[in-house]
Amino acid sequence: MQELNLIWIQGETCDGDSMSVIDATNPDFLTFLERYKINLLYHPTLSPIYGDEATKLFNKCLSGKTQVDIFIFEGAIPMNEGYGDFMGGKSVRKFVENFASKAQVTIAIGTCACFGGIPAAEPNESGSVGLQFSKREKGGALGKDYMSGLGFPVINIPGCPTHPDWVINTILSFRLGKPVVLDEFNRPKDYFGETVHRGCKLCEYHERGLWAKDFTEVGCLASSLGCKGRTTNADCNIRLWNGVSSCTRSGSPCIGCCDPGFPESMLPFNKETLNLPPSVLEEVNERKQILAEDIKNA
Amino acid sequence: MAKKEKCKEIMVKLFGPATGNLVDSMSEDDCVAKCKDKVSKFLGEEKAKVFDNL
Repeated sequence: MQELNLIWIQGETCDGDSMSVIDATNPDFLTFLERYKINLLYHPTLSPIYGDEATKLFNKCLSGKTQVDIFIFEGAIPMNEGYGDFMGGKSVRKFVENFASKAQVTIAIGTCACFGGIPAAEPNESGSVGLQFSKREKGGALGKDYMSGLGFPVINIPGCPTHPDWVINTILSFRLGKPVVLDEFNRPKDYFGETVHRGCKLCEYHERGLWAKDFTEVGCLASSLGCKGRTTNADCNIRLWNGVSSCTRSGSPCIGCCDPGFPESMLPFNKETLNLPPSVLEEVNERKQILAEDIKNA
Repeated sequence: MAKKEKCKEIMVKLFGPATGNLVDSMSEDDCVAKCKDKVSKFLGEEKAKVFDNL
């Protein structure tokens, strides 16, 4: 199997997604790269090179001397001039356009890179956007028609931070020949096909309409504490974080960090802000009726 | 079935529906070589042999 070159660049970011992926276990990130013959050309935290040496490497990639197979971008992209000037005097936007045009696969990691995220929150003076989306609208820095060398749009793996398994498994799919199917926001359906509500240990309280009114109370965190798990797509409660827990399992309401509109669409975090889709409401009401009949007949 | 259709079927099976658009943009003459090259790079030469009989 030939070696694949992976380059990881950052824009407006807190580094959280890098930290999350570096914390991957079974296998850890570096073992994964080694095992599947993926050559990490550059990562801002893991690479020993910087400055002129890094610029030389980038130029080699952009001139085609070094092939870029997988291009990972973390953080939002400022579109307004004067924000986020970057290496070698090139703007982040130009940098991203150049690398994305060479890559076989382009992956946006974290909600900021996918949809703009926190840097794109109002008043958004930097004009920040995601790689191929600006919040829920297609477009972003690369435009809605962008297609990588392998025919994919930018693959969006959101989260604040993203789950390491989502990143590693997506890359792995391209090594094992496992098809990557995307949803309407170009997120892999394997990880974003279900809501956070699915698998939540507090589901039974939700079905019985038992709401926790404070953090110390037993009950579903949705109504009074504003949990967004019912309308946020991610498999946090099936996959679990660090293999053991999730936000809701540790007693904290989901803040909807994988949603394209995050953070504004989720504010205020502690209040119920989103209307449930009719299909979910119907299902919940149906289950409640069944439960009521069961209790009556018991 | 045309070569292009066969290539599309294989690529979608290996990488996902998005690669279908890529094959659509290729010509009937060069699609086999181009697809084989991509599969060979990502999945290895063994898997790329699937294009040998097209």
